[in-house]
Amino acid sequence: MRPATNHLIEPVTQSVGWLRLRGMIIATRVMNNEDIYRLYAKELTAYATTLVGPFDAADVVTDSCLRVFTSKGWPEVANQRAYLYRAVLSVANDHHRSTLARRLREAKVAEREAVQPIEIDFEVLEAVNRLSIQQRSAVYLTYWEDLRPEEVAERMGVSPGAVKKHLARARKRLGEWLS
Amino acid sequence: MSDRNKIKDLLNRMVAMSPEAPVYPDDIPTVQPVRPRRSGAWVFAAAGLTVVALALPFVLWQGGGDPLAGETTTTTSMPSSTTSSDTNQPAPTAWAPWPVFLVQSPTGSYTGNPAIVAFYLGLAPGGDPAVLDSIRAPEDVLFNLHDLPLSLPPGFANAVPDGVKILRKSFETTGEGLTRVTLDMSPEFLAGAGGLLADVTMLNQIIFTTLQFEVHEVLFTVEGSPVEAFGLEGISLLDPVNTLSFIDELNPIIITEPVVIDSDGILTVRGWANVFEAALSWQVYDGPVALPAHSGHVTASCGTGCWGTFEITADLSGREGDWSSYELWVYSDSALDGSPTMVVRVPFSAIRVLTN
Repeated sequence: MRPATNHLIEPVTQSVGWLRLRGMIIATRVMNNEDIYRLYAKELTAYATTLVGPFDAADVVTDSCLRVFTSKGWPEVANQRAYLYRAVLSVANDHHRSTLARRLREAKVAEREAVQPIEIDFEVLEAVNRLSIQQRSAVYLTYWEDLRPEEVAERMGVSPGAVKKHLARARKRLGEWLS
Repeated sequence: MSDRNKIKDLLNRMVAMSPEAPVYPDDIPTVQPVRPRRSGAWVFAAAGLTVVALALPFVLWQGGGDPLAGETTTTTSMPSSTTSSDTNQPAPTAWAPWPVFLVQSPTGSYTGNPAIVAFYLGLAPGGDPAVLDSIRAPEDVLFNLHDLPLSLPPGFANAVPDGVKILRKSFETTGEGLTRVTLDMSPEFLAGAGGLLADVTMLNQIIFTTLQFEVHEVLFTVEGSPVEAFGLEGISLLDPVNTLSFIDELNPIIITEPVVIDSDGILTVRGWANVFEAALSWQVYDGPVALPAHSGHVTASCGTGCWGTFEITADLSGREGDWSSYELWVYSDSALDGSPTMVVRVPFSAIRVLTN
């Protein structure tokens, strides 16, 4: 009987370090939550950065994984990567809508007072700030991850038509950037 | 550079600001599934095979850990009900003819944002039903709540301050064929409700109340002048707004139509939700006691980042006359422990029972 576990069969190409050397044995290794987290944390953080900015990205990833790994439905999830992306989008969406705008203002003040903790690309943040969370997600998954609309739709939990709509609106709002 | 490359450049610079991935949080409660029980013979045979076939891999895997080790189960618990003692009010003898939206602090809300619920308000004990005849529109109820003899449901409040009034109201059809109402407000409107969240909640309450029936957007003016800065943060209201304008500042579950019980004892709830996987649950309580026969799950038409509609129906026939202590909970199950989150609680004492 296949146990209902929250693990997946890790493709050998995604295993890390010395584990890859052990061929078939490692290719069928069952991953636990921590392994899954280590595998996807970096790309989820980049995704979250696009959604909520660099200031809150780490918190969003942590909160998302906390939600997912403790969810009763997680053991039955087939596409865990897409599910994690949907969770990040959901948590990002829960953030106060004006969070990025507020963080941007704070960062500008910090820059004037020379206490900026990280290097901020204000021009980029202001452009992204014009987009809704959904539009940021569609743009990131389409242009950065190079996914097809159907794949973007799966990671966002919406229809492919909605993805196209988000992209069209995003391009419109990015008008100045694109001109 | 093509649009595609410009967007890629934008994302490249965005991702370049990405912080280090956070470390795996050690305090994540382990929710490993219960391992299926097997018979003794199976366990013995499986153990033997495992030792023979997997001894080497396990030795090599050091540090990978046994993925099934440390299995635990979660406990799902309902928070104890904190039903207000006001819940046991006698059923009103008359109702305001139009519904209004009122504000509630939801239980276990992840965002902390307030919930709004549509209600028909009942006439307060001793109130003169003749005054209800003067009400012509939903906003007439909302902006006169301080003066009308109407009872607010227990646990709900009105974020619109006393003194804020509509001076004039006009309707027009926009170029897109939408119906727009212009509300010319008294100067007290500009001060908002006293705090950023309260300001936005006040706006949501007004917008949702005003746009219930074939009116699509609202434009605010104050004594005929455009509103450049509203409330504490100076929200610009120069352009028309609609129900989506500030919706993200609300609890992710909104009851958009008054909950009613028809003459057959069928309760109907309609609303919007933006919850994880679009999954909603509902439960009727009698005081602190959950009624197992009156609970269920529904799926909204959209979720996980988008707003969808939902409808709940519950058959309460056979329990007529026994509803005053009841309360309806609509909520999202917590991914953490299955407990209700973002709970909207509607007391039955404020639910209008329709008669033939």
